[in-house]
Amino acid sequence: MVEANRKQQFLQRITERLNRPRPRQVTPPDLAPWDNHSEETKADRVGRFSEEAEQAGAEVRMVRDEQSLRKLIDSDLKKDGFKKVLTWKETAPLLEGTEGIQVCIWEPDRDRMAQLREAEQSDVGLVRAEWGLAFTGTLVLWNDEKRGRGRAVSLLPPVLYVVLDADHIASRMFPVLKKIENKNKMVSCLNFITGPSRTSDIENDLSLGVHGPGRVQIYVVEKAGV
Amino acid sequence: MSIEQQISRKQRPPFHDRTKEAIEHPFLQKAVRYTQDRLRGGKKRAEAEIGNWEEWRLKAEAIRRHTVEHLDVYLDQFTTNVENAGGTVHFADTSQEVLDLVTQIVRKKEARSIVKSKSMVSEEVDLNHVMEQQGVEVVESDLGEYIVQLADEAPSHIIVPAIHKNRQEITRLFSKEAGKLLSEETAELTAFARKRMREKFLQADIGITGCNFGVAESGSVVLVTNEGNARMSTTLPDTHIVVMGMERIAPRWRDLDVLLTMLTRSATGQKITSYVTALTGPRREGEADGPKEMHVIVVDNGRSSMLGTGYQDVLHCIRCGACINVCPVYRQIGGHAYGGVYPGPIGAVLTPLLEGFEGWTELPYASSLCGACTDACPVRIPLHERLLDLRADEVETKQTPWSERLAFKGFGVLAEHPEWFEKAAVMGHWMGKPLADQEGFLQKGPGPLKGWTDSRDLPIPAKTSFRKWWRKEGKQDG
Repeated sequence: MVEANRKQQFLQRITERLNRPRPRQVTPPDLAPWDNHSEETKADRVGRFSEEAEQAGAEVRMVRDEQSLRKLIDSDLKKDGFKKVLTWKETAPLLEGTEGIQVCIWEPDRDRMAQLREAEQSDVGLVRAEWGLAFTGTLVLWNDEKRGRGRAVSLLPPVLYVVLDADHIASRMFPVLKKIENKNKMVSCLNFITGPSRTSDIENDLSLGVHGPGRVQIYVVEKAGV
Repeated sequence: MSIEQQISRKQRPPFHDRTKEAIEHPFLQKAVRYTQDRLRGGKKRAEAEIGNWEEWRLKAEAIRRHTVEHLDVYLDQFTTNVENAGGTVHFADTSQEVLDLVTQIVRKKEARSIVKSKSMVSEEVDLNHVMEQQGVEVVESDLGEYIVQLADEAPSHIIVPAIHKNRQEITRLFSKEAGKLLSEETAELTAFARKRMREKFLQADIGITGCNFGVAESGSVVLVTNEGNARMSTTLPDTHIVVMGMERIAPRWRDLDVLLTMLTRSATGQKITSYVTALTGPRREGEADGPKEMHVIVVDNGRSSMLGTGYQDVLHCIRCGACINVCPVYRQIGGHAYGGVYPGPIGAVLTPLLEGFEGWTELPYASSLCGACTDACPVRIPLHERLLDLRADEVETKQTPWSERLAFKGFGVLAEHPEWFEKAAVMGHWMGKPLADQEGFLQKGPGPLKGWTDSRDLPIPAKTSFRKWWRKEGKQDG
């Protein structure tokens, strides 16, 4: 805990500079410049999401249901020649039946450093996005501690596979954030991911994957299973 | 010792020499132009795509104004929520206090190495050098910052820190680090940085980041990057230190949506960056990665002196760099010539306000008052007006660089006829605009600008090297 005095002293100076007594409560101006985007159908949102995500450098695959999803992931892993895949517990069932590929599951209870090293050595990470944002092609990842979702799974491997439920595509950040506002407590880590890791720091020349994954493949599932 | 090294060591050569070196640096000239055009073009496309850009600007301005007007309330709420989420909050009035606080944490953790993600505030306090003096390794993880760090220089742009370095220089720096000769291919250089940085991230005891926005209602620290380095700094090390300017607050998540939209579109023209990460407290029970401890250092360092003054709106800045990308002066002199942490129009305004006029008297004159910065600002800060205010204040406090050694005639006239100031500003803005609109820069002079430049030269004392140079270069350009 910060020393109460120190904090009050710091805040008091601001209050004095602002030259008024400190209000007990204030209300921010109510603003919604995105109102003109609110009327859309699910099909619109899915279409826009795919377009924007691809523009941001991600690859988008549409799949009908979880069964075809499993088949597609299996064939993609083989096509990409991956030997080691890292995933969350909840997405591990999607990899059941893949042969010849080592599946590592992120476990909150296992040794931290050992797992990070393992993540570092994996060819691909597989996770599920909580939400998609149509207007920017963004994936929203919740690092919900109750489900032991590791942050490193979507970060350390050079390639990222992400499963997204088509019903969970919102227009933009605001409607999703509104749901967060209703929550008492934020999750410790919330990630908005749009396309691969990119940099143009060397002579303005675009280069992918400098820190995070250099390739992002999104599976939009039309009818998600349980 | 190069000019950059001198700057990084806080031994700045005079403004005249800084600009001279920049103008005589052919790669810098080319690179700055190319980068400005790329980023500015991106912003223009992003504005067009969103449609009602001016409406967004007004809302973003209203949010920033409201936040800064109630900064005491929101900082209270933000820091209380950081603590509720398990974080530790510290307050620092001065740069020395920031250094002391970081040093305390480093000692307590017995830390040997730190990975950093771009943080302008830590540049303000020269954190890297101070840590290194204490034997702690600090590695900048943003690729551009890493390049600049290997060269022992300072960033020259707040979004693209290493625009002044060319491929050959970068290859030399990286080859030295690698202990073998690397090719000049971007892919190979990036791959080297990735590999090297991975080792550093896995070993690091502490990750230090800045904070793009602190959301008051949840106590979340929001970090915006394209590379993902802020995610690395907050996923791998066991301790996370956030060094944030005290004004970096957004009241609610819905306000954040507006500000984020404006930040990324204005900075690079992206609808959103590759990564936006919101961290609320340290890792929790049931999580295996993320930091065990999270420290948030809220920094004043001169900021509160702007509150309640005509400069309060300078605190509205969201650090997008849009003003830098349209500035005709930055286009000529690049970032280092400004000498401070923040280059371009925002730097010319902010640096003297944060640090006082002493040593920074020339900065308010590093501007053509064309108003392009004001038009570009996503939160509508009237930057060129603030530059004028600073000039007037500087005269009033007698803190002009010329007061002793030079003829003070121009200023005398101005001081006696304050309306000339007004006129110069209005004319400059009004006349500059139609020309600036096509390419964003005043490249067309002398023509109709002749009268304008002449009249604007009047208040400027004879020996201002910058002016002389600008007049000469501006004509060559046209």
